[in-house]
Amino acid sequence: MTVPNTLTQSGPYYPNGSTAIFPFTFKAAAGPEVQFVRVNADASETIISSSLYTVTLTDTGSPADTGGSVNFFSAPATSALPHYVRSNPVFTQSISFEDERAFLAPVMTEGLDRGAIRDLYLLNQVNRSVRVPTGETGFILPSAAARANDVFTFDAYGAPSMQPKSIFKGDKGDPGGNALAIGAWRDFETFTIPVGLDMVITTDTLAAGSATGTQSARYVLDPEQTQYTAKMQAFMTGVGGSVDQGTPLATAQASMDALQSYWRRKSANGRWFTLAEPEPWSGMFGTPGDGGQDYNNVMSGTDVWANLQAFIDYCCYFRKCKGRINPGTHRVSRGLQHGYGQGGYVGGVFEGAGQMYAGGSAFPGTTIVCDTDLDPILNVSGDRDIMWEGVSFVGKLGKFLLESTIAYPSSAPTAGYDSLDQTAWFDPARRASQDSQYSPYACVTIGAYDGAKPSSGLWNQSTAYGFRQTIRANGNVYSCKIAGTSAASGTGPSATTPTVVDGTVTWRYLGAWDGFDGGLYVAYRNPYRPAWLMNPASEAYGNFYYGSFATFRNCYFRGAIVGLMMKPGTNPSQDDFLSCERCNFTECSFGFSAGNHQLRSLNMQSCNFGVLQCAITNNTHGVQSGSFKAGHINTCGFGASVDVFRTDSSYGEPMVFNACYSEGQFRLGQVFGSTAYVAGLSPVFIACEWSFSGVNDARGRAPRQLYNYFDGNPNIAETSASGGAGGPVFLNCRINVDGVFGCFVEGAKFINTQIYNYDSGAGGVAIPLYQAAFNNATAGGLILTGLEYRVEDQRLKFLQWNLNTGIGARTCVTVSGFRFSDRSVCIPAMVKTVRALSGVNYEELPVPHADPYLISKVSAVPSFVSADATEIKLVFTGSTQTTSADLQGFGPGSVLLESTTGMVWAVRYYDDATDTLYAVARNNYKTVGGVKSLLFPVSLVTGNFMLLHARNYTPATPLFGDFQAAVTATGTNGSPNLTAVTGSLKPGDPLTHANIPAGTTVLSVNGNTAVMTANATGAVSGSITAATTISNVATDSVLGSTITTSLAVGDYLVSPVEINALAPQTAKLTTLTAGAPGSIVIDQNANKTRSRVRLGFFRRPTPANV
Amino acid sequence: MSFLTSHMEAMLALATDPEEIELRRRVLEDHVAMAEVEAQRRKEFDSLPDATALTGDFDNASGVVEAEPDVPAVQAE
Repeated sequence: MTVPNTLTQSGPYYPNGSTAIFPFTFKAAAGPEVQFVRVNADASETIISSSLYTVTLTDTGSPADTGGSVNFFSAPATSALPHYVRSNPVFTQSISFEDERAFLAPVMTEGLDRGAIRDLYLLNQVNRSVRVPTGETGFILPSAAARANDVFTFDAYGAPSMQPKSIFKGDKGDPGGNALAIGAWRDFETFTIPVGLDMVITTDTLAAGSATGTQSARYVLDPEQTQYTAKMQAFMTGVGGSVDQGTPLATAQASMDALQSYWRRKSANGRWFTLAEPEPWSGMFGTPGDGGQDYNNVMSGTDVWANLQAFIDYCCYFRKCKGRINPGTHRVSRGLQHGYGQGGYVGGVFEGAGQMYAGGSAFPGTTIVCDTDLDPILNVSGDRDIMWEGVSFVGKLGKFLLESTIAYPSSAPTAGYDSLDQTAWFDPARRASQDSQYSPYACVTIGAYDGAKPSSGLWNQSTAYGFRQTIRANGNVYSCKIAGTSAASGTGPSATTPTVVDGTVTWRYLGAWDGFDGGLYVAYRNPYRPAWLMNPASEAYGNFYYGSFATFRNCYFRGAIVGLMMKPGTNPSQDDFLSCERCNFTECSFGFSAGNHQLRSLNMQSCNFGVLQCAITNNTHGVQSGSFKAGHINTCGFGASVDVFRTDSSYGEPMVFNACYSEGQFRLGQVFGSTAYVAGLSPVFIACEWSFSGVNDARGRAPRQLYNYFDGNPNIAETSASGGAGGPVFLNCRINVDGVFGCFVEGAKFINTQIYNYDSGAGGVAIPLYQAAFNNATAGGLILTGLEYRVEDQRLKFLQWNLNTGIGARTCVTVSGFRFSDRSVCIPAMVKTVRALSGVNYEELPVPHADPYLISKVSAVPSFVSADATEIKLVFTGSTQTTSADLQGFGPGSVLLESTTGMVWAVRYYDDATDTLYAVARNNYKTVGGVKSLLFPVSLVTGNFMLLHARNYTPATPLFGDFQAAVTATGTNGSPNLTAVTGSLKPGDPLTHANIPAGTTVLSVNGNTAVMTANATGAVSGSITAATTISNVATDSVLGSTITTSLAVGDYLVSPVEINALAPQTAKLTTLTAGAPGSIVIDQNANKTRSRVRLGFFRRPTPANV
Repeated sequence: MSFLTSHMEAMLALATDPEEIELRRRVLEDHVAMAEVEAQRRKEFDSLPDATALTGDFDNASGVVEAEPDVPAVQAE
């Protein structure tokens, strides 16, 4: 016998229920020295009873025989645990040789074999035990009593050291292997979480390499160790009403399970944990914030729509907690819903990492961008006291607005883009209905899907259509661009151009009718509704719960048609008390748009509105009659926008602008509607500074600062015709105007308000006489319309310009606060007093020319001339001063005001050669591609022009005199008769001719003959009147006033006749001869021969007002 | 600096696309030019004596601007 190998065991074997024989190859001395053992899962061993088997040793008679088999009487039961056949030698020694007795070799060999077997057994045990390296000394553990409850450690020298287990901390955060810090959230299902561990922390985010730490979260062992079923159903019952509303329960349950997957996780060993953060971050639902939207609107990053939506739902509906949106830009593939408006109200407070300025990734904060413009980026529905804070919502309109420059008043709009056309703020790259009435592309909406889903009406003949109303005709869909009445015949518009005229309606083509399966031309696409709502109304519009008390704080709205859209749907009810605090609205068409008429107490606090078409509107979207109901706009800034507000008067309650500021504004706004204001409740502006530098030739000039807000509009006018106090009030405001202001609002109250017109010649810039006179005539370019009935409180400071120096005159002008009688409209500001520093009045200025002096458009025969792109001229031809008394008497600087639009024209000059009077538009024009055109159409047939004389410095009425013209006639010596008279003569005209005695005048005129007061002293022929002397001005034929009471040498002549250069220094009065009639001489010759025109004189104050 | 100018500067600083940079630079330059003129004019205006300093009765406290009856109608020409 020998021991030919060093094996001590065979296996492992995995009993399969049929195998009964398990061989082994190690050397065994006897059958009982072989064991069959099972190694359990916890590493313990179970020795299978030897009574269940027998052991057969290999026995061929060879010394090398080794191994054998374990032979079970019955095959062991199937087991996945490893089993081994192993050596189990006897350590007793039973061989004994006696003296003198036989020394048998087999016995000796057996002894040696048994020794070798034991050696091998022990070697196996030693190899599996703890050992120290060669050269070191082993150690002895303390006694059992001493080491009880301690842990075995090594000291600084590697010697064993027993320590109380209470001090053992293990590696930080990992005391138990897969314990507190278990790894990434996404891998939760792969972790084994030991029994007894009740809380775990996930380490980070979905995506490797984008760790920010904000995604780490605590989870606690859920008492419910299965999918929530009853709990979810119970919670949803409170949201979606009855669980039995049509949606199959299995579908709903699957939806619930999907929702749970974001915040309930199951470990690899089957343990359920639930999120345990009082204010979770969205990152805990898997939003890494790795998204982006570049200038070309190319999207990047992870689509986290499902994650964010689950997060919002979790916070609102299940945990009912505040949620935080982690930093970075989050890209969603469709719009998010904060509440669904079904089954009940919803609250919720969400806070980002801060307003990321304009969504720019260089700034810290949180931004949400959306792949599609078919949905709002976020819609809030059924809200009660919800709030979003520190989040930027960025759409895709920025590129279009920048490239077209229609939003930048200092830059000329790109050709083809009209910044003053609402519908021109239309990005061709966006959906056709981006600015439709009921579905404007918005950063955020409130109640977007409330009410019945909008539908498109078929076009009808002879039908009145309002702004933005949408119709279908000839397979196309159109939105009303300019309200009017459709054509009386035909089938309606069919063109696919941006502008389509139909009767008096102008349409914008939106797109081909798609059957409205998606309703994309009139409505948003159907909203997302999770199946767990268990409501058959899912994926549809509806009459949802109405919200109120929404707050947006420190949010940024950029790059959509509407930044924040309240109620764009067909059901306008409620949603009160909206508050926006410290928010930015930029690069949108509209900043805030309200469609509901129960928006009580709108509050805009410390917000910034810039680079917009209109900051605040309530008549543009939805039912177009939103209300602000005592809206308060406080310490807000406005800039580079067309309108601060565009409203419907039906809101009927005051809107207060307090301590607001603007730059680059084009206009305060426009007011429309069918309901009159309640007296005394019009907009109020307190301590505001409005700078209208956006009124310039790059963009154009508004006709009124509050367009459509004027007497004569029956819908908007004051409700009290006898002096209602409903006009807007400007209290302690400063108004800076760069450009001729044109008309201000009707019935406005100015209380301690300062108005300054930058454009009146500051810095010594030479300005034409007509312009200078115009500015002085209209209080620095300002026309205050309808100061009538403002019995008190009109306190207005404005600056007039010294016409000699071109700088502001050191004067203070107080606008009289008295009643303007029936000068109801369109008169210049009543300049009452001009005073010196000494306190001595320069002069008490008289009242202006007259009551509104109406010039019939019909008799004036005006026409527009577009001779050049720099000016819009109004031309009166064929019926001018020589024949129309209406047009006599006003000269350069006089003002014509159109009765319906408020358009202002400055009279520039009279062209004698063509008998044509030219006036230049000072407002109501726009610039498109560098070419001026009318902003609002002006009828040249209906209505009137109202004449305002420029000469506020003149006496009670402007002085007029007849400018004696050259006349040709024939006379004979000794006769008083003149024949063949050409030109115009009238009785009293002085005649000057070599053969006519001095002092001779016209006695009578009859056709082309006349009689002189003296006989001719010789033959008379040719011209008989010198053109350099102006006479007959002493007695005005109409007014009967004499010039000597008010004219002085040095006064300027302002005449319809163009006298050399149009500068005030030319044509001064140099000789004044009192008398009846008296005469005057000016310092230079007239360069035109005129007949019977009236002359005006611009009187210099004394002392000079410099 | 006007707040619009600073806004435009910030937007320019954020831009990375060459086309966007060029456009934003253009609108900024246009705006700065306008704002400078405006600021100068405002400065001149503000340097003028205050209305109250001139008259002392801007708020009508001195009674210089007394209440007046309706302006009598002036006969039109």
